[in-house]
Amino acid sequence: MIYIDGITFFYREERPIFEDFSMIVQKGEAWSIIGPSGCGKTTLLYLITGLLKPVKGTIEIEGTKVDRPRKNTALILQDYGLLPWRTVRENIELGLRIRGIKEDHGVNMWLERLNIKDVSERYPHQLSGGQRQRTAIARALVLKPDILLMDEPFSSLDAPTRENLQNLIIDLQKEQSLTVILVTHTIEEAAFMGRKILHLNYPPNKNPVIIENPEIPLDRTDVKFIATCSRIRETIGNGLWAQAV
Amino acid sequence: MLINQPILPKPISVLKIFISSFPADLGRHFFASLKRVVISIMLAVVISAPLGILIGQIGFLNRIFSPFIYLLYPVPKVVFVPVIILLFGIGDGAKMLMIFIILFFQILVLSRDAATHLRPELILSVKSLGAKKRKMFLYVFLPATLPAIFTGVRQSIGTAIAVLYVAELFATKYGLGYYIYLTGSTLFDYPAMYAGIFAMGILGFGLYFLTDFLEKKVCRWRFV
Repeated sequence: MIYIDGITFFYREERPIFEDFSMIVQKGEAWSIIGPSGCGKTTLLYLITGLLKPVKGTIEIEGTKVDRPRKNTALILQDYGLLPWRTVRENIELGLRIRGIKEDHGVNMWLERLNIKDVSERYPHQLSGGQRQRTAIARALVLKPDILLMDEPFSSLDAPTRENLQNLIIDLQKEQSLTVILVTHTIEEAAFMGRKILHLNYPPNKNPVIIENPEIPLDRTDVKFIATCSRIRETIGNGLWAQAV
Repeated sequence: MLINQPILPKPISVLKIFISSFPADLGRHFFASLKRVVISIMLAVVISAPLGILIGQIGFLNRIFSPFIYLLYPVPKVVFVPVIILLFGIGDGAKMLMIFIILFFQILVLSRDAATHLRPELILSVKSLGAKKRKMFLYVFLPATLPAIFTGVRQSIGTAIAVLYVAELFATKYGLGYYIYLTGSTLFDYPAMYAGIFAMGILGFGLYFLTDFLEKKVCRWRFV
């Protein structure tokens, strides 16, 4: 469980992005975070990861206060954060090497599972966007995390690759009982990926606006899914985001 | 006698002198200079590159040391020659130290800049994997800075050879600087002087090729 308890956060002397903000993410849940640029989506991910520390309040994961990057929390960034000087295999092994693990530890299994074994000796600039994203996912999952945080991971991919990877993440989330929190700009992606959707607004964010979305959509063209997207659009549209636009 | 000396000899006669004197006299001067340049460059890389990376990696160090670097970098280091001779004598060590001091700042500034301008996403993504400062240096900052270090070395080769000439003008019997000065200004043997200059060109040429070769081996990702 991720327990965010009354956090306040601001960058230097700017106005707070979060002010006495609290929320709970239960173990194994899939969340999407949506909101306008600058609302604090990425900041919230960094706070949960332990890359940033709240000015006030605490974040606890499984009862332990987060004040540095946690061993079992994986983060995938928008540009994937792959090291250009390491091959696909070396990038996947990176977290293991940092932790002093010399063995394979499932690297080959993830290379095969994510269909990147053929490109394992290539460098990131030799890969397609989808292959890069798969490498980033493999690098995260090889560490056997219980929380997977993703910051707009599919934003630069073409539609078929994006949908393919969204399905993959949903499958992996169920299979590995992962807690997934995904930051996105698109309502459809938020509705497809998140069983709960956190709507952040222009700062300061004080009370979380959470949209329940319990059903896993079977199909993106399904009437129910389209109706869900309309409902989210309406909820968000009624907020400050729409007023500001 | 002076007027009869051809100050611009034919390239072929220079080449003949080069080929005939390299296995004996000129070769000894060449290898003496090569040793001085290579050791100076290696020392500069080994000491200033990690230092530059550390300064770039740790913001606090950058804020403290940058003003001193900016103060000392533009000072022509040859002004320290008398001090170096006084403190370190007139041997090989003093000559290499002089070249080292000049190269030190070039490589320091380039590696510091490369480390400072690293994409924040790369740093964050590796930090999120649990890397602390030592692992960040090893897995992120050092490899990211390697291309800049090679650029620094390439720039340094030209500077090192120019400084080498000045350094070999005093208190030595071996070195291309000494050979060129002796044959040109004392013996007025211009073909031999040009053979020395040619040897200096070959020295730089070889070092540039060696640097390119090493860069292709070490920075493989940039050449695939």
